[in-house]
Amino acid sequence: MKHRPAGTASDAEQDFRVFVQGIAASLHRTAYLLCGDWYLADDLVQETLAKAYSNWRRVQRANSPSAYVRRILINESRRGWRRNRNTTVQPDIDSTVADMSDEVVNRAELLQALQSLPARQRATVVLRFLEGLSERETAAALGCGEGTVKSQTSRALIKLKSVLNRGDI
Amino acid sequence: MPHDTEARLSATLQGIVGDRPYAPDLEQIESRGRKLRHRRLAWRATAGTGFAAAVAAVAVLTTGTQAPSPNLAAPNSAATSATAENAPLMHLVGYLTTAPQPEGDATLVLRDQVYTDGLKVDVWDLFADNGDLYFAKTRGALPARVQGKHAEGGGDDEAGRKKAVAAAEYAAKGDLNEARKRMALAYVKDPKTAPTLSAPGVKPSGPAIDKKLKITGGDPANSGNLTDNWVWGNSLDALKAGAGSPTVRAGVLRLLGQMPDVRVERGTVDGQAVLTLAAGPAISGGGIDSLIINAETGLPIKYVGESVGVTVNYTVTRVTLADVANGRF
Repeated sequence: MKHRPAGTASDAEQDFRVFVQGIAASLHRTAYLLCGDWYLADDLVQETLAKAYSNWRRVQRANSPSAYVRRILINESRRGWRRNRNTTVQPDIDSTVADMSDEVVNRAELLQALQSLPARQRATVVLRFLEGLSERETAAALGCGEGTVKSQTSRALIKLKSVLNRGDI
Repeated sequence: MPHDTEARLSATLQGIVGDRPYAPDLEQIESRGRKLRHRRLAWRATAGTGFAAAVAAVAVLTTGTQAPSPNLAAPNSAATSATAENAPLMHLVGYLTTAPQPEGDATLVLRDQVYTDGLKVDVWDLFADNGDLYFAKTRGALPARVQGKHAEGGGDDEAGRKKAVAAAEYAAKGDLNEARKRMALAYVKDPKTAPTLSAPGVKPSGPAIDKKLKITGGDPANSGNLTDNWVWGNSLDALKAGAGSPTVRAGVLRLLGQMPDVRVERGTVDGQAVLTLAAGPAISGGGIDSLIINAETGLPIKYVGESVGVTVNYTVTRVTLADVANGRF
């Protein structure tokens, strides 16, 4: 029997690593907007990718591996949110960007407004307007219909409109 | 909602996340992933078709007796000896395709799993012939599952498992190309978006593959046939779920036997003649994954998964659901 030399990644592992390289940054951004905390986002992405690794063949077989993994991330973020229901995560907008400028303040307001949305609306907004996914792609990632994505988007935008239309962000 | 509002939202979200660098800890991810996989394989009744599907079986007993079930028994030795040397697998398939269906209405499978880190986990799967699956972590817990009709419910795993068993049944006597397609896609939900399938043993090639290998540093010799991987994994699922059915066993062996990267060797385990079907890295994704079956019945005995780090011994028993519900098994 031939054995794989120690330290040599299998094809599946190589595929996984290439996949991670391509999607990690996007997952990290998404995770941050879902939870409002960069450190929690780190953990969310690590756990998401570990789950993807543990199910890698199934991920590869999915119609859209990216959508499959994004769904894992969203489910994980909701689990985390339920765990931390009684704690308030303060959005950690980088204060070094501008010292309490209107822009930073209002970004923080928008982030807080985003955090106040129901989980599915929040995920819909992040996937549609941060990652630029189509309604179809968003539906695939959320495991729902395109009609649901439209209605969730509409409701979320109504709630975010007051912050967005102040004109100073 | 005006378009400019959406554009402003998009721009603001981009501004919030900025260009923060992020590098995932791959070593930690893979370590955690392996633990999750081991835990899932240990405790879940439907192990799925990921990096491994573990199958093995040792004995087949009828309810209330210690004697081998006649309808699961091997063909007589005279019938097996003539062609067994050259084509043991196909000879076995020939026998199984004409063997009668067994008594009982369910197959009870004990999975005795030993992981490379020493963890040992026994679990019980009861596969009803109607497709239902009852799962318990102990033998004693199984009657209550059946009495309460607490079958493992729905989901992609159940649908996929049933399709895999159906594909194996089709493979027993049907067109092998169509059977291979059905088995490979058993867990694919939407056939319209099914990936392109490869013929057995065909290695991927072309500029895209060359580019990928250049990036990943992968060994072209071990370049995998993903369709073979799916057929192997899903076939093992089918063999586990349909271990009690000679038709399923025949179909699975036909499908596995047509793959060049599956090597078949004769041997003995505990005095019984066995066939070892070994899938190389091109199928397993890493290491050699071996399925050991009884050479005369096709019943699975043991699965050794180098790619998963687990060895599984199975004990298969034909039973009736009524007997299990009443604790008589």
